[in-house]
Amino acid sequence: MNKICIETSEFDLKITSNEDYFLEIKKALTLKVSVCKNVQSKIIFLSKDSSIDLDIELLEFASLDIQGLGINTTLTCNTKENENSNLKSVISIASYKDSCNKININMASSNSNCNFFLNGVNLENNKLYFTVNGIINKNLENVLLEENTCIINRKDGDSKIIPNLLVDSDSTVANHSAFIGKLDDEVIRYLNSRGIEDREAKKILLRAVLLGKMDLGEAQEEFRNLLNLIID
Amino acid sequence: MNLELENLSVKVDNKDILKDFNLKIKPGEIHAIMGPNGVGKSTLSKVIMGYPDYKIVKGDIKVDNKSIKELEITKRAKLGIFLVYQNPVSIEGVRSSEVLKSSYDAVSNEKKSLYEFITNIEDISVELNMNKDMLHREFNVGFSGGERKKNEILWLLMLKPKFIILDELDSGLDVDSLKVVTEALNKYLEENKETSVLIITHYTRILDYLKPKYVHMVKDGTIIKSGDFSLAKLIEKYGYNQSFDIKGDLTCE
Repeated sequence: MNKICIETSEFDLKITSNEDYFLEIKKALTLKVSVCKNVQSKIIFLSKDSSIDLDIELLEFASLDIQGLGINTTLTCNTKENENSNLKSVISIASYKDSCNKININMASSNSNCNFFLNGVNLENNKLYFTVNGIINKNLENVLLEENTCIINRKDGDSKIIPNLLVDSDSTVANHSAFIGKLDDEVIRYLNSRGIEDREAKKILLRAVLLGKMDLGEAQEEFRNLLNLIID
Repeated sequence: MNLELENLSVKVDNKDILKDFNLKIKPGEIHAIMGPNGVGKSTLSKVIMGYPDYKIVKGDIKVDNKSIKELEITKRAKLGIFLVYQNPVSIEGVRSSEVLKSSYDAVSNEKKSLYEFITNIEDISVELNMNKDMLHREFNVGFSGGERKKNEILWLLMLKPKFIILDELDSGLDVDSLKVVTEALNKYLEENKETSVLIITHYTRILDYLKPKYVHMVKDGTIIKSGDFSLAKLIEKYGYNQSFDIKGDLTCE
């Protein structure tokens, strides 16, 4: 995996071969990712106290698996998928500052798939908003779009999910799910009955929300350690 | 472990659930609580475990002659009380092995490296005819009812408790799995003779595998009849409604 530490305010990543990347984002960033024709790639990113303006374009037959964790991050993401492309995204935001995030998924061509998971933990009594727009253009065929959005309020934060599916085609499958809630008391009690104190039980469950759907490989430990600091 | 419930009355949402409940379980004894639905059997398990929603309005719970009425759930678990749930939860996004390790580190006095720990639980899983892969999957996600119960028993065998509550262990277990699980439990009890067990059940099937010394029939939140294993057979023969009416002088020593 290619590790890149980004300290500039703009970065273009053009992926021309089947390689994976780990991006450590150090400041507010406009990031353009483009995956070339017939290329498969995986990107893992980590951001703290920065905003990210992310543009993703997948060319024909391209495939991207993007997984990222933002701590106190505000994310604006625009995606564009071309013919026979495949995007899987798992992005988690944990925030104790106001964070209003907007995702626009543009299914521009036929025979394309997108699975977009967006998970959030509202750590204090701040705002955490997700607006997710899935757009499927006219006359497209065999398009699959899934949006899954979830926010857990650790305290009494102001959380909102606005999911939209704007579908102008007959030959598509488009789903969205949205959930806002708190950690499940029944599960916490169950863990308590196994000797796990409340604090540790909540840490386990919050990590599960933020990292549970990710496949981070070697980056797992770094993500967990950062989260442990934040959650504590 | 010696566990005693003394004149225990418990309310949930202002409703009486247990009334003047008396039960004494000595070290190494197996007791069974039987009764139809809604009489307070599962409530009993949560009360012993210390669930805060269950308010003790009268009476006491003692372990080895010390009151544990004010003790939190985690402290009771660390004392050695273990509840095998009727419907264990599932937790997405967390591996079974991770949850088990967190629990082990919290409860056990023995320190194990991650490698030793994983090896240990894999050995136990083989004993329970479980697929080792299940330990590395999300906790109970996609597991059948029987697999979740086996996971409970694996956890029990790992933590080595001194007081075990089995809440409807046999529900969801096929006959082969029930045999495997009860064999493992009997082996554990044989090796840990001071461990006491409270079996909560509707049916007598499990009692053929885990033989209780005493059987108690519960109705309206209290024990109305106690006896030895033959009381279970009486219930099996006549059902609960008739058994409640049968006068008998079956008593515990």
